[in-house]
Amino acid sequence: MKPKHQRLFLICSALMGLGIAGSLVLVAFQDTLVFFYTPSDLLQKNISPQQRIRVGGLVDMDSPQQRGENVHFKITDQKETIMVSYHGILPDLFREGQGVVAEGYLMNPTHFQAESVLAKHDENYMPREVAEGLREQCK
Amino acid sequence: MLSEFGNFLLAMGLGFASLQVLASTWGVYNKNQRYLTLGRTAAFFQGGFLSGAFLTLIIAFLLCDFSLILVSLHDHTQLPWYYRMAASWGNHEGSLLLFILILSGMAVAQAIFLKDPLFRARALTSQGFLILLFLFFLIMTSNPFTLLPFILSEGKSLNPLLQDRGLLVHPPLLYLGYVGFSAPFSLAIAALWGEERGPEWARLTRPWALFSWSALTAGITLGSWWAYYELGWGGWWFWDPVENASFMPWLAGTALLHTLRTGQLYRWSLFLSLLTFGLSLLGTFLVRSGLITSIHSFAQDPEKGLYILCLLGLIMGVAFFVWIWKSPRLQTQSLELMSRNGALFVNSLFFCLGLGTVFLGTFYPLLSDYVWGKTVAIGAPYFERTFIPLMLPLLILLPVGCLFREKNESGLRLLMAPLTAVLGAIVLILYHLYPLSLWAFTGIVASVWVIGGTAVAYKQARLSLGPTLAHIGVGLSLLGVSVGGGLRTDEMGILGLGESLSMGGTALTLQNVQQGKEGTYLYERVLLSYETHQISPEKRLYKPQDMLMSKTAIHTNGFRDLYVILGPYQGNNRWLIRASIIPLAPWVWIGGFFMVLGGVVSILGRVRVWEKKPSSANKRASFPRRREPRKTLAAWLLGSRLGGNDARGGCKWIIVFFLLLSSPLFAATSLEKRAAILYQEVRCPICLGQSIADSETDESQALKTFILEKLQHGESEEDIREKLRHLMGDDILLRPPFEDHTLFLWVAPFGLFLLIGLGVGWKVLRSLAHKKGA
Repeated sequence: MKPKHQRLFLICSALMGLGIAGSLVLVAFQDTLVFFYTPSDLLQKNISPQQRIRVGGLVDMDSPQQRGENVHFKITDQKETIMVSYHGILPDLFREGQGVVAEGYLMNPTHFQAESVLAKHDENYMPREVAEGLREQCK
Repeated sequence: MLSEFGNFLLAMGLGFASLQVLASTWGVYNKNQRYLTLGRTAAFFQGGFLSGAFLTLIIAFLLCDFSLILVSLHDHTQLPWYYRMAASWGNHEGSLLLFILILSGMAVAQAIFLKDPLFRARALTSQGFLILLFLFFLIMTSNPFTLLPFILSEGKSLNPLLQDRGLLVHPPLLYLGYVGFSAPFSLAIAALWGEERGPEWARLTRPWALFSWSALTAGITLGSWWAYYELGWGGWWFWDPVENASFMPWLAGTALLHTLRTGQLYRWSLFLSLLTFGLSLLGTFLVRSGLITSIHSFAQDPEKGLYILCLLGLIMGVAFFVWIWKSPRLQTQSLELMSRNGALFVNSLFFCLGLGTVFLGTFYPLLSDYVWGKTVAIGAPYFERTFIPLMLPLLILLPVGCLFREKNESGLRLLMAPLTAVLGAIVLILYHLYPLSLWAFTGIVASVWVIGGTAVAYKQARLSLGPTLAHIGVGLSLLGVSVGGGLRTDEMGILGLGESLSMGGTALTLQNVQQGKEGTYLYERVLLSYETHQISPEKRLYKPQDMLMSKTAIHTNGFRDLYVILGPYQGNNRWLIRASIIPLAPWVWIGGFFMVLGGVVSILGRVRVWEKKPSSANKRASFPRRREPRKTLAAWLLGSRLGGNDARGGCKWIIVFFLLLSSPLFAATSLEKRAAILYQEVRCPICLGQSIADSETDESQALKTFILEKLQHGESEEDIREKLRHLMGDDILLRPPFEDHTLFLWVAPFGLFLLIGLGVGWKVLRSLAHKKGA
């Protein structure tokens, strides 16, 4: 094979690879991108129960209730609160009054079914989205 | 006192690092031997002083010198000595000092091992610059030896999550990997500067890249092991930005390692060397800067983010400028695509594609936030849909590439591609026969293929021991990941004393509960029995942070892990317990260990167990040497007739053998397991977003009963799916089997493979026609 053809072949296959990677990325972006909302956003925006989203804020004081394998708690941004249910064991750093991010589905405007709950591994931590969301709410 | 001493050592280190840079540069320009020697000596001195500084910090932590801010923030007198030592690098300032220490260690190693004085001086200049930049950064913005104006009697202690034996070595190893890639970086800069020749440079750089790669692999493996037992749900990879940050340099470094086999890919290797270190810097610092949200960023300091970004921009800007400027002047040999080196080049392209998707997934949230003002998160599903389909063809090509000859490969070997397509078809068919997730099954077949193919390549003396071990490690890890991820069972239950939970037919019984105090924490320990084993998960309350931590208990027999975590107390002497059985989980890390071992063996030289490999560089490939095939386990198992020279035959038989071996695994799938897998696919009619497996509503209970009954009546999965679709509409299934975009996802890897196959076929035809014409 002449070097010229070889180069052509290489460039073609590289472009093809890039194209495939690009389309994979685009397709994945369409379905797997998860948007972040604060409890106030949830009231304003119409979010379908099929869309996977993240909700962040502070865990409302005295709200966590463990009922067997299910946990219910409220996430607040100091203006609005939303009820969150979760099946399983909460992460160790989940605490009242601390920042938390829940990922899952909004069943109806007041009830959120979480599939995962993220609390950070640092006692002083506040997720950046939560901090910014709270800052905007306080304005 | 320690503060002044530490500052003095840092200042001396800074001085000698400047001397190292200046003397080396001067020596290179004037070709003056005395200055070259001076630069080399300065490297030893700065190494000594910086190690002294780090040692001083460790001593301050060990002695709990609370006059230092850093010590009072991260140390505690009640901690055992090894955690006090680990606390010194478990924070931003200390980890930065460790970073610099390794940079200077690499400089010392270069001063010792590089023989050519001019080349050495150039490498030392580049390495010295890096040390200077980061040392400046450390001293100006985050000096670990800053004094507290008053003295505290007790510190704030180390984050309890970091109080773990695995984590004693994980950060230093990971840093050794990250920063170790500064050596290939400096060697690349030196090569560009001095316009060195390719083959020599590649041979010279290989051990450095291997060393860093092995350390990084070990670091990542340890980190994922830690996440597995510490974070409490038994996963090993979360596609978290911090993990991606370590994974990206690993991908680039792996590509680099493969291209370093030859001088033919000189410019490309140089580029990859620069890229790998750039990604290491990006990983270490961008995540540290707090710009990206991650579930585990320790030792964070957001204020310094911008500064770090500038530093990174400067280093990479200069490096890539030098590459663009100088690399066209370098001599390279032409590369033949259909050869071993061509295959290695294709391999590195695949790695770069994978790297690109990981990069995009990691940084897209940042981009989206700053450019469009939308906060988004990208989780595991994105990476599973992009990275894995891109890596699958690479895994399939891996044994093919290993079997390639040095020159003039006929392309006939790529006939294995159809074989692979057939394997793909088998995967799809078996998927419909057995209720096993597609990825798990594909993973199993791919790992069998990789291990089998590697064994054959080793047997045919096409691979030396190091790469063989590393590739087998890849296969083992893949096997662990896909079997463990696809066939795990999770159970949760509320247990009182003497009550038990059924785990895969065996009872997990709660025997006893103990409470007590140990070191810096109070604990509540639950003793459970499983078969004849005792395991005891704990809840710990750490002082002085008042942090409650769960300690998982794992019982392993090498082939499966029993993974138990203690949930909250439920009242009435009852506890919530979650237990999982994860088959082949330990293999994930055994595979990682094999990869590291492969790296180490490669550094130590081409060690051969059974026979010495004669040099094959100048052999004509069209007359393959007759060679006694090496006896491998596989060859022995298959009998001498099959263990012959025919690579394709050997590979095929090994795969058939492994498939037969693994088939009982699928046939033995119990009714409950088949039902459980189906539950995952069926959408709960009430909560819509969830599968009935996760949902507790009455409707989903009813659906579960319906599915189980149908299975008991002997109906196949496809029948049941069809019935459900008929009764409740298409939406009832969470994963529509084949539809527009999903079809694309399932087919894309195979399609890519087919296209490559067609391209190669076309090329072979062309070359045949060419030969006839000539």
